[in-house]
Amino acid sequence: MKYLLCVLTLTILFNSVAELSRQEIAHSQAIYDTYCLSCHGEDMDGNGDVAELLEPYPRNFTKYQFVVAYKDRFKNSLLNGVAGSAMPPWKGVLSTNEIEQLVEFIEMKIVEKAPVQAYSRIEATMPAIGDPDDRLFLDKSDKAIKLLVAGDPIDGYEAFNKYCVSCHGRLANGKGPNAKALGHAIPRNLINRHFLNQAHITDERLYKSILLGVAGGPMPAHDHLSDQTILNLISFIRDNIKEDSE
Amino acid sequence: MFKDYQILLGLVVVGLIITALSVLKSADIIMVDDATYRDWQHAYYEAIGEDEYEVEVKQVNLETEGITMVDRCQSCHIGASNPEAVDFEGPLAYHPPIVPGVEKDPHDFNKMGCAICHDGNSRALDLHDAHGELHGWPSSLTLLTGKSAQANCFRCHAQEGGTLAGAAHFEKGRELYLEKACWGCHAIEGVSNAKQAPNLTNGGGKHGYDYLYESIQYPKANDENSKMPKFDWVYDEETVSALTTYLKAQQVKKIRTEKYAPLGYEKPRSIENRITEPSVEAGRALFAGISYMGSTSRGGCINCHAWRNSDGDIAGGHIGPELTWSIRNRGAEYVRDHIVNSRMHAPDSIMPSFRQYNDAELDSLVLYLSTFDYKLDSNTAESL
Repeated sequence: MKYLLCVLTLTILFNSVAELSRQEIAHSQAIYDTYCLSCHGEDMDGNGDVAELLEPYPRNFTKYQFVVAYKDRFKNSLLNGVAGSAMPPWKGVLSTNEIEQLVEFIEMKIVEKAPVQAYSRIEATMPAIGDPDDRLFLDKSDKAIKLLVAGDPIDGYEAFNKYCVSCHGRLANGKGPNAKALGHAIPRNLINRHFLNQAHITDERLYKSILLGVAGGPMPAHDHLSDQTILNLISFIRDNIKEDSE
Repeated sequence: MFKDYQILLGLVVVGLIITALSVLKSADIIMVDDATYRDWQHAYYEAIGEDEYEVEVKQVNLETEGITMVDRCQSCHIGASNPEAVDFEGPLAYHPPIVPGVEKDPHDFNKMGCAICHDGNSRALDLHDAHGELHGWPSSLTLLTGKSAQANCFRCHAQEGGTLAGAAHFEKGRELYLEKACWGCHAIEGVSNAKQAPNLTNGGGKHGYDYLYESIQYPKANDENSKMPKFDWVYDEETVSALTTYLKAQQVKKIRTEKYAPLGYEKPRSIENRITEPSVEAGRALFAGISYMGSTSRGGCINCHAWRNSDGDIAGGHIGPELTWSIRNRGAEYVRDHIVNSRMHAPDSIMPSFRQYNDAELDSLVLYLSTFDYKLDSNTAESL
C-alpha cells in the first residue's frame, strides 16, 4: 500500500500532471479532514469550529481566483506556516509530496464548484527608483516626466488616510469601519510585524497587491494611484512596523 | 338618561365603598394576597399553640464597619430558629442548620439576622420590598435563595487553602473557576492577575447573581463586544450556578475584622505549593486543569484546546487550535514562548498569557505535549 502510494506520488512528480488518482484524492481528503478541518471548515470556506476566535481568520478557499492565482504562495504557507497567524508550519508533519497533493486536491475541489471561468492574473513589475513614473496621469497638462524617488512615509501616511483607512482602519490594524461588511477574507492587519517581516512579503508583493488588488478578495485594484504614491504607501507600512531600536 | 345628581350620587357611593375597604384592610379585617407580618405571626403562634403573645417587629441590629445593618426579616420568618417549625408553611418554616452534622449550629439568627447571607432589603416589612423586587433596589443586592446564599459565607469567613463546611456549592464553583481556567483571562485578587478580561475582584459586589449567571451562559448578553467564548460546559444549570455562586462571593466589602466578626477572625494564610520537578504526569494535570500532588499551580488548556490520542479520538474544547501537532509543527521553543506570551509570535491571539508558570511547569507542559503521537496512516485513507 505504502509502496503503491510512493510510486503514485513519484509519478506525479515526474509527470507533473495535476490529475490525482482516486487513491490520492481519498488520502488528501483524509489529510484535510485531520489537519485542516478544525480551522478551515468542512466547506473549505475558512469557517471551521475555531475560526471565529482566530485572527487573522483562516484562509477562505472557496474564492476560485485566489486559489488559482497564488499556488506557489499556498505551498509555501503549508510548508512554513504563516508567521503572525495561527497557521503552523506543516513540514514537520506532512511530507512535501503530501503537501503538493493537498494543494492540487483543494484546487480540484474548488474548481469543481466554481463557475467555469479562466482566470489569469495580470503581471506587473515594481518600478525601480529613478524610473519615470509611467502612471502619473492625474495631471495631464504637465507633460514633464517625473522620476521616482524613494518612498516617503509621511506622504504615505497622507495617502493611507485618503485611500486605505475605510477598510484597514486608522491604526492600520485591518479593523476599519468597512471591514466587518467585507465578510471573509477581512482586510489585512498592517501592523502585524510578524506577518509583514516574512522573507517572501517583499515590497514587490505589496506593490502588486496594492496596484492589482488581491485575487478573489475584497482588496480592489488601485490603478488610479501613481507609482510614487504606491511607493509612499509601502514605505509608510514598513515604517509603521519598524521596531524601536534602542 | 341619567340626571347629573344621579351620577354624583353614584360617585359618592363608589367613593364610600373604596374608603370603607381601605379602612377594613388597614385594620386587618379583610385579607388581601399580600399577607403582612402580623398575619404570619398570628398564624405562627396559632400553629405552635400559644395563646398569649404580642405581635411585634422582630429586629436585629448588626454592627458592621461603617453602618448598622437593620434586619427585620424574622418578623415574617419567625420560625427560622425553632426546630419544631420544620413543616410549617411558607415563611414560617425552620431554617435547616448551615453547618451540616453539627449538634448546635453556631449561626444564631437572633444575633446575625438573615440578610447578611441572603441579601435583600432587610429593613422592609413588605414582601416584594423586602425581597428586593421593587424597582430601584440595587441589582447587586437582590435576594439570594437556596445554595446561592453560600456566596455570602465569605463576607465573614476567610478561606484560603482550605474548605468551609456547609459551603459545598461554593467550593464546587471555586474548583470550576480553577479547572476551567477562568483565571487565565479574569483577575481575582489572590488568585491571578490576568489582564485580558474584566477584573472580578469585586464582581459580586458590583453585579447581581442573575447578571453573573447570564454572563457566563451568554457572554454577549450584557456586553455586546465581549470576546469571551461561549463554553460548551455551560449548559448544565448546576455547574453554572456553582460558578456564579463563587463569583458572587467576590466582594471587596467584608465584615472580616476582629471587632465585628461574630465568631472571631483569623487572617487568611496563602499556601503556595508549586511543581518543582518537570514530568509528563505534572504536564497532564496542568493541561487538564487539575491539581498535581496537591500543587496550587493550575492550567486548564483542555478547555479551549483539543488533542487526539494515538487512536485518533479527539477530546477537548474547540476555542483554540488543536494541539496534537503543536510540538512537531512549531517546536518546543515556540510553544514555550506561546504559553508565556501568546502575542509574542501571533499578535492578535486571544489566548491568555500564563506567565506565572515556573520553568518546571513549562517543561512539564512541553513534555506532555510531546507525547501526542497521532499520525495519519494510509489505512485511514483506505477506509474512506
